Amino acid sequence: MTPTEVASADKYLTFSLGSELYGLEILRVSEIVGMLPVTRVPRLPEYVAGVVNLRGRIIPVVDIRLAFGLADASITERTCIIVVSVTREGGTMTTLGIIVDEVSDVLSLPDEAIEATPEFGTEVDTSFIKGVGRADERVVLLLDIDRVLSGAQLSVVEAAARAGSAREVEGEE
Amino acid sequence: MAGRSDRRPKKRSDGDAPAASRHHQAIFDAAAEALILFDPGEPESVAELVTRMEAVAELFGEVPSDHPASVALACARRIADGDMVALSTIEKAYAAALTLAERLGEESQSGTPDPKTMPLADDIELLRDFGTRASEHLDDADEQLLVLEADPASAAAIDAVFRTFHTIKGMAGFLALDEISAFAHDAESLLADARRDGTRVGPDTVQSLFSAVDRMRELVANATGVGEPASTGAVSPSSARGDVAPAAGHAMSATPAKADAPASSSQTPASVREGTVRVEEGRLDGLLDTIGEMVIAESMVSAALRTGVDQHSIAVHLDRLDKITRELQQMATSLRMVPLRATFRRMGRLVRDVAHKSGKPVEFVVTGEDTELDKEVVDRIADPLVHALRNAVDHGIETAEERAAAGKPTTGRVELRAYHAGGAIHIEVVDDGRGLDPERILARARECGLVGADTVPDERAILDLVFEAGFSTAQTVTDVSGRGVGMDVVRRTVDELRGRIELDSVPGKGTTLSVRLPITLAIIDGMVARVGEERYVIPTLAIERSVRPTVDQVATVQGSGEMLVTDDGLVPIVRLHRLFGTEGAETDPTNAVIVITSDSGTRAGIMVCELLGQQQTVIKPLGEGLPPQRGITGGAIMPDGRVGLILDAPGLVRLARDAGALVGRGPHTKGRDDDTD
Repeated sequence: MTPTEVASADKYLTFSLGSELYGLEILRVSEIVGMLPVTRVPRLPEYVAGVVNLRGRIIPVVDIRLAFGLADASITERTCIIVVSVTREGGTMTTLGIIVDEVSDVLSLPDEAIEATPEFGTEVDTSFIKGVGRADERVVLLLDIDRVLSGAQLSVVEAAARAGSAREVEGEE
Repeated sequence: MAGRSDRRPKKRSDGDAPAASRHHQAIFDAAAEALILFDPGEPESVAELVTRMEAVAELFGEVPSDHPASVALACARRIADGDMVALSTIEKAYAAALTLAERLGEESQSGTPDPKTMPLADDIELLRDFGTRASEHLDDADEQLLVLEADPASAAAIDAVFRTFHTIKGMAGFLALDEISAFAHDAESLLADARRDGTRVGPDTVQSLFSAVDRMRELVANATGVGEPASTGAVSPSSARGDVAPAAGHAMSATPAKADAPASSSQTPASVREGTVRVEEGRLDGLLDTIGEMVIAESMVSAALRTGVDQHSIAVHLDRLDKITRELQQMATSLRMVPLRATFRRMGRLVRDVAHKSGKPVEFVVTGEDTELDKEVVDRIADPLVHALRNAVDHGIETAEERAAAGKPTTGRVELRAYHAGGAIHIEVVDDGRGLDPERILARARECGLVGADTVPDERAILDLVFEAGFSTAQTVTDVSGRGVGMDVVRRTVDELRGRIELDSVPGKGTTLSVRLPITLAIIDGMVARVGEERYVIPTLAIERSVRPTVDQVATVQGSGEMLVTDDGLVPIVRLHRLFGTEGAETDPTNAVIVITSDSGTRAGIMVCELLGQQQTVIKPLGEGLPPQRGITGGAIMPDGRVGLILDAPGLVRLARDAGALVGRGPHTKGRDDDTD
């Protein structure tokens, strides 16, 4: 690791979704851009909002609220897209945008300040959360960004989406 | 020769060598490069060689005329003087250069490795260069051998073939690829008598030379990783002599030969592939010039904006910028364009081999080999062409006796042609053979369960059956006199290249396989359609026409979805809004527009709200993070900066079919029999 990487390794970019505070490893974040017009891509899990044009490049964006089962929020001028690089199965890197309500700040969270994700029972899907950090009085849910679009996740939802659309079409007949 | 200087062989670990020796090494390397790159046909390269050799000779100062340095220089000069007996001269030059290399190695001992123990072959760049050049030379040899076969006394062809092996021998010797150089030497000696005495080259010798070319390809590919030994192996089965193996096996084996090509799906059309494209200097210069123009135009626009001149002049500048941008786009596209020549050239050999094996005299005519296409398309179309040509000769053309009996000339004719028409590239394989027998195809298709016992497809639909995956079985080759050998693979490749494929046949007269391909993979012409609030791009190439149906034209087949009744058959309607779950879309077909697409024989009516107009779009992948989307080829940046999705018509039909929205697998199941559209 370069000195910069060592220094940034325990830094997290935090953002809010509703009243909750989430964190992302800063090394994964490539940029933060304002909200862009999103084109919906049919037949994808609901939490994949669609694709956006990031300076001529098309990247998928995830509405992380929907992935977490939070209520849909309206888009404000504070809404933005955090562009992150994620590792896919097989080790290839890809770029992905995450829609968040508001970006707050960068926190330093040493390993000892991070706890494992508590069990909430089956009601709550915690597979996207890799730990809970504590900074001052606040609790930061640390995102496991690789899992948000991981192949395993997608193939399950994809199958669901396919079955769903088949039903829908049949239903209309 | 400009632009090649960067390919200079890397100096071999000269870190510890004395400065003088390093200097020598540099001179020697330059000479070696000139030796490798020079081509007797290019005066420039010959001049370069002489210069380099002079520099080498200078190194050694006053030396006797039999010193290798003097010999090398003398040889170079003779080549420059146009001494075309020069084959032996070139050989001498190489030999002299090798001796020199050894001497240099001895002289600069400390730290500089001896060329023997540290062959140049370790230099990947040099090796690849050798591989590329050797492959080209071998393609040449194939072509010349065909000439030689037709005219066994052709001195020009004999010389050309000889030179191929000779050049390879020299290059390989220099790179210390001993096996290749020894083999080239043996191959060369096959022609020695003919060259010396001007005698005719016997058919056996020609055959051996063909085999030698194949073997050499393998050797080169193994040594350098350049070239496709497997593919050529399929083209010319192992011995190329005698063995009349069932063609099917080889045709099939030609498919995996392209294993090095990534299984690029239609998802990532513009994905960057490993490989190089040779670009004419002129094109590159043109590109740079235009970029210069663009920079100027851009600064004019900003200057105009800053100084606040009138709207009109800004508009003029912008107009100019717009024109330049379009020009740039065209030029950038042209950088990836290569002529079909190299691919077509290999086909001559293929047809010859297949014709030989099946014992049919076949005349092979190639036209339009200068037609240019995107490099990826050119690379990937080679295998389908191999299939098609093999089929044409093997199954299409009758034996000489059959032809005579049918009152045709005994020599069959197979034509491979390419041309540019209607914004697309057409490649056709035409034979004057027996044509396809619809009855037998249908019977076979029924056997394979592709067509129900009661269904009677029209003739066109029957021909299309040949492209079905289940149709090609080993049995087919012997049972049906038609094609069916891996034709599904052919269609899949053409599909992936966003092209179209069609088969036409007149029994007793011949068969034509036409492939229509987009000129480039990066840009498509598209029709922008609106569905609800969303916009989609439909590739123009796939569109037949669009209609606003009347009530009578929409037929609902009980339990099997909707059909559009057209003059040429029923077309299944795909309700895009239903398939994609779009809200706010028009649901009444009589108020909507139905775009009839036809792709690889599958027709579909895509129902959209309205058509917004035509647009050229750059295809971009939707991001690797998303799974492949059925029915969607990729994304396009629309003029307003949003992303539009590009529809894949055949994919949509399959999607709709799987979703149960369509029934009936053939689009023509109820078409008229005389329909030939």
